[in-house]
Amino acid sequence: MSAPVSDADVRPPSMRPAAAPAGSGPVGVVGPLLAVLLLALGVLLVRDALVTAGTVSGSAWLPAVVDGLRGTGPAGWLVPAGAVVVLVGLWLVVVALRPRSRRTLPLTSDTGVFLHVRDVARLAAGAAGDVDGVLDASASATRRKVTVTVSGTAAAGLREDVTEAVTERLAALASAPRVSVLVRTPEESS
Amino acid sequence: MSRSVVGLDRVLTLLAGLLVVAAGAAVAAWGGGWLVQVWAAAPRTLQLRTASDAFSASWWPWAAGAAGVVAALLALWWLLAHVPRNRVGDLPLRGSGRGGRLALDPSGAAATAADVLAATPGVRSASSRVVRERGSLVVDVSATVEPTADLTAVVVAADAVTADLRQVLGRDDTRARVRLGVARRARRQRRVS
Repeated sequence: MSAPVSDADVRPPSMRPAAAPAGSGPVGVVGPLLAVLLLALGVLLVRDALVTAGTVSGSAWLPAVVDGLRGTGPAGWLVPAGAVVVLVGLWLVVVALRPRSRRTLPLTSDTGVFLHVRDVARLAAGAAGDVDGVLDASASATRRKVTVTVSGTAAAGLREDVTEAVTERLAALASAPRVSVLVRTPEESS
Repeated sequence: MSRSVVGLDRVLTLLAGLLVVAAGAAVAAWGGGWLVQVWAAAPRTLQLRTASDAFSASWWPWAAGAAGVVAALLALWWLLAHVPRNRVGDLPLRGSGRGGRLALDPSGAAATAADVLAATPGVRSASSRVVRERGSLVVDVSATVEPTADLTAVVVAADAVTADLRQVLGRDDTRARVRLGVARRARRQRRVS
């Protein structure tokens, strides 16, 4: 007699997983901003060229800026102003060198299924809120740790119950984050 | 955003950052009177004669115009590089020949797959798109699940849906990515009278 055939046996293989989604980080915003600045510089140069050539009426802006700066000497306020400019430049360097942001966690699956850490926190808060004795629950998460804060009617056993519920809700994650539970009772709140 | 565009952004942002750091340090050092200690010929006051001479030269309008056009074109190309263009058109199917060409719009099949996934208990909605990433065809499905959803059941449904889609597309080189989002609040259940 042959073995019974389950759905999993007859199901065709799933698609291979694609790479985990990764955000571009702040450089994805700074890059286009610099492009807009470069475009503005180009427009300014073309305008000044047309004004100088007499094609467009008006006064050129670059010579006006240079005239305004002429005769400027060292001044105390230039020190903090230069320091601010240095800080802006350092921020740009940090943005350029920062790795792409990975804020998702894979789930145990044949194909690539991913959950954002923000959604891990929502699931954890939802699981904690369903536990008997929990009045209110909130959670925050990173790729390694989930912190759940609950307020309950009594502290006895509540931490264990919430930890168990959250761990169970997040069991589908390929690498389960550590669960940390903070319990606040009405006595502590008041 | 493709990796090459992000790489371009990184290189140009790094260059801009280093330039800004150098400019800021020079301004602060000049303002504090320390620049002359490292550069004896540092100006006591700004004269900017080179710039003034350039503005009055006959070649200035041509040079400024050419530089401006090049800068504007580069900026436009840089901006347009950020516009995603990785959508996939019709895919050829086996059986195409002299009598005709068989093709499949993968977005239609992927949309049906998303609809099937959306019918899974605990899944509120789902949508999909087919894109090309690093030379591979990728079906990217986004689904919103209820905060109370059974994730394991949703994953099983996602695996089944992509398996069916693989058969429909008839291609082994296709990859899948299912992004699950969790709704802020659970949807109220309808009261049964």
